[in-house]
Amino acid sequence: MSRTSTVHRSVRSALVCAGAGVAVVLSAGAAAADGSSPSPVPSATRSAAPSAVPTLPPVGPDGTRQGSALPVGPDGRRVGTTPRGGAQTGEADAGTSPTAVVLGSVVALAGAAGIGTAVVRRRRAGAQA
Amino acid sequence: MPAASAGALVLALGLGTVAYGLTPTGEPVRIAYTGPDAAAPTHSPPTAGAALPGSAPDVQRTASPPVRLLIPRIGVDAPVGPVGLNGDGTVEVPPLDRPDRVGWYRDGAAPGLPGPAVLLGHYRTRKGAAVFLQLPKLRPGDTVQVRREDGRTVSYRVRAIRQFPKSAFPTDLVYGDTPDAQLRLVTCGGTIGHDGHYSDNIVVLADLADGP
Repeated sequence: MSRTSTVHRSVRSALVCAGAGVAVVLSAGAAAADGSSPSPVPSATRSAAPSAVPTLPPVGPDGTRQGSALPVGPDGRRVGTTPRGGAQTGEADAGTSPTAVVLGSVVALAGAAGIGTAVVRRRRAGAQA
Repeated sequence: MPAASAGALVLALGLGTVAYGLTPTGEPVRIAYTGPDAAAPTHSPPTAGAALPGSAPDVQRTASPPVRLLIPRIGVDAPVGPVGLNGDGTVEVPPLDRPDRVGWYRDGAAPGLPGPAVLLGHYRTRKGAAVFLQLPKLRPGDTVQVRREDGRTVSYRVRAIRQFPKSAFPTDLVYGDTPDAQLRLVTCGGTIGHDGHYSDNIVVLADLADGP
């Protein structure tokens, strides 16, 4: 096996490894960026029986819709279900930064290529010695 | 082997940049006012069948859903629609593709009736600023108006602005029964987690100023 082919093979394998690593990082980033789950509550913790089914408020005798589908006490107060926990009233607008991901990937690729080149040079130097 | 070290450094730098790019960014959202609360209204709680302060006697028995929310100091003039509960028992919020809308928790009190009327709005979505972006800037004494479907307007005066971690959300404070008509405005605050959601809820507590 010639020295040149050994060098080429080493460089090629280094680049392949670097490329694969960057691809894994990028695919993880894409998955994270696409994740638009509306609620952080894990599905495993969800109640089997929903406590309320969304319904339209009923129409009262005066023709106006009443404020709630739940029973109303004598003083006009509702006797209803209380929501659990806080409200998901916002989400990150910018989310992830594609520019930083691409730039970082290029830099990481260059770093991996540099390592590969250094390894090849070291082997070459060892073979010459 | 300095070349390999330099390569490893560049690789680490690149991976760090990628990690930074994958981290949601944003300034923490904090309430602007942290001073004492405004004084609660001095009127006594109404008894059953009695008129609410400042309200016409006939409307206290008529629950009318809110259709619009107006907060002059922060420029809010937004449509309101009913929301209920999700399957997991959490409160529904307006659709993320409608960041201009406000949700009224329909299983709570209607505006102007005894109990807390709870209105929820997004602080920010992926589309950008949402209806309650300026809510953390409210201060005690600010006026909030809720227009009902029957054409009447209920005015509230802000008593307090609070911020809580979602993990310690004060359910009773927000949804618990009150002797008189009150209002709660709820949005997000705090920092953005890796799930893309904010860590806190900001809650505005307001008391009835003028009935419908």
